[in-house]
Amino acid sequence: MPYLNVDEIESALENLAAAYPDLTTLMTAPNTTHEGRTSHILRLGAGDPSADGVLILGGMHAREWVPPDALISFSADLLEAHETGTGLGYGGAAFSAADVSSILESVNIFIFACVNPDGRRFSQASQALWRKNRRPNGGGGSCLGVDINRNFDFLWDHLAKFAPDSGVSASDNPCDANVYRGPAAGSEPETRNVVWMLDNTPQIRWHMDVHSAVPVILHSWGSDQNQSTQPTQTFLNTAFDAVRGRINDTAYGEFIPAEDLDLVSSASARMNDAVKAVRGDNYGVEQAFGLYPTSGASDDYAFARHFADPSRSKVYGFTVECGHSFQPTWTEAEEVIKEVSAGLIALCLEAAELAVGSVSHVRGKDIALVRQTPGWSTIPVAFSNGTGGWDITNGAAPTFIGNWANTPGVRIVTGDFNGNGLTDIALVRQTPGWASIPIAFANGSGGWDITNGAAPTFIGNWANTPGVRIVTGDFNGNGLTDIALVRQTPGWASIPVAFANGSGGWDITNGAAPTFIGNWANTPGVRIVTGDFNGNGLTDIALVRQTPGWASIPVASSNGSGGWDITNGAAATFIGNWANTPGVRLTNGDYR
Amino acid sequence: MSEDPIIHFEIRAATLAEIKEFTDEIQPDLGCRAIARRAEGGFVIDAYLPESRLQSSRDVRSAANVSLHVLENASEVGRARQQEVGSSNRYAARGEIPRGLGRKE
Ligand SMILES: [Zn+2]
Repeated sequence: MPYLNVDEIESALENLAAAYPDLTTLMTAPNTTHEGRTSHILRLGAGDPSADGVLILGGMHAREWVPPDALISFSADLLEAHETGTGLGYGGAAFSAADVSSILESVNIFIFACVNPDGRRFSQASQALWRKNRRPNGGGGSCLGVDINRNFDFLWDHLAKFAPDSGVSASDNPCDANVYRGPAAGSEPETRNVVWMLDNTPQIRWHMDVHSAVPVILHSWGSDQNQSTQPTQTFLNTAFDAVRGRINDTAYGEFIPAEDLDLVSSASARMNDAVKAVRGDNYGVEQAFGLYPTSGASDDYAFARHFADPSRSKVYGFTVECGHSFQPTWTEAEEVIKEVSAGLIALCLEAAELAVGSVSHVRGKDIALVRQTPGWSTIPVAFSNGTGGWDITNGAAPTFIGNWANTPGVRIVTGDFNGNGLTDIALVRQTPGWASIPIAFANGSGGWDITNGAAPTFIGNWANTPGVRIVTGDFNGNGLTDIALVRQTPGWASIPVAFANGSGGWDITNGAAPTFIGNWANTPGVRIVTGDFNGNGLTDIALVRQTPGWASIPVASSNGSGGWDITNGAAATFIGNWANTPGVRLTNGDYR
Repeated sequence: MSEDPIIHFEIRAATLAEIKEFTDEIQPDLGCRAIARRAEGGFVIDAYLPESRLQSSRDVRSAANVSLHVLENASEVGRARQQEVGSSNRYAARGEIPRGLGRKE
């Protein structure tokens, strides 16, 4: 199976869209290339189309042949595995069916497999080491073309924005065979297609540009060495234009908020672990600034957008440089494709775990809108009047919505946290940085009363542990909604609960459930189901396995004071055969 | 072009500063981003130059502090790989569904 040519890439995307209509949307990029080619982007997703997005680019540099093939293979794998209910294995890396479904049900993946098809065509048919696009610049030979990855609107004018001796990797000479930046920022149709994706898909929060070859995994920034203590030293500040980009100097470092650096570093490390598991090649993680700064690159542009205009979503930018050469033998290319696929699945799992819908719909007879991107300071509600009509309110919740709800890793949890019969909205953060659980208590007429009760260990340490899922219920039967944490990766032996005290505060317990959590909950394919399974008025937690291997349904029954009684009742055919049939979904209720 | 092929080579040195001094002087193509990796005995970075410039780069002042290792004749490799590119369209028929390289397990 040889390398894909540019026609095959487009046909492959179209055929995947046709074969998996419920899981995909084929989008047409608005700008045709200089040679008249039209590109498509394939959206993969089984859940809410407005849920968080991961944009994955390939083929920006023409001579890097493996990335577009890797993105087609990755897309085909995810779609087939989801459709048939399997997991995915790449060498020594393995992902469960539950991983696959969690990705496709929690996030949308946007595959832009070949950003620069004109260049790829020229590289594959004529000059193999061609890198740029095929813009006519008025000359022939190496005087054609623009480096797309120096054409984005991030410090694009490298002559004005960097220290003269920084050695910035860009050129204003159209005859530069590799790094000509183009006549203006965003001048190229290929660049504008990527910008169009970011402009028109505001739920995109992750941007991965797949290149080759070093190999290495890169995160922000590429303009200067990172620092997190001098917030005025940013790409936006022209006062530093004369000194930006020098290595190992003290005059300027590119500011990155410490929590953003933590997030991109840990996501990169997770990708690296997955890549390394395939065949032991340790790509390593580095900041995109290496020996020299870079201007106009896509990863920096994606991350910079929010800082240049806070009304835009924050998008974390990454680049993977895969494999060890631009054009390996196809046999070697297949191994690199497996590494890229494993790394991308790890990134998508990270995105899925941190996923927030841009607008979440709170269940009940009324509908509230909670925005999780910047720009709002209210919670609109449509109150059902019972005859098909709606009464609309738009009550203020400035800090709750304007600042807190759009923090990365925040999940919306609804319930009646004060027992007054009205639904309230809580925010549970699953990334480090918080030590409390804010609540917006509904006042019954569209207004909101905000609290921010402390839960230091529960939120500060436990809720942001990888693999932790949030489960709500009334675990002590007092009529107030409580929040429990069930970990589905190894390492815990208990179920922490934050019991609502009715006035915005929380009482924390951490009752033991050693086998239930330590062994059973982290089995691949296990789903968590809550309900009052013993009819005592307290919410219990059950585990239903949807992959083969079990014949029972374990339950942790709440004892009302934070403790758990464990049972493991047989359900041989129900679990052993039926629950793991592809396409089966759980729906619990009172059926008798 | 065939008279002066592009050579893919490694630059190794004990320190990043020694690599940078050399790349400052010879200005090679360093690929997408100029990223050096830690390696045994120091650091290594991949670079690309026409064969004639690679030869002359061995004589520059800062070459004394680095070692150069040729990996491949990238132009020659590229011409060979062009034979491994799909020549028609294996997905021309709508029913030809791409399959990935992952084990479905
Ligand atoms: Zn590249």
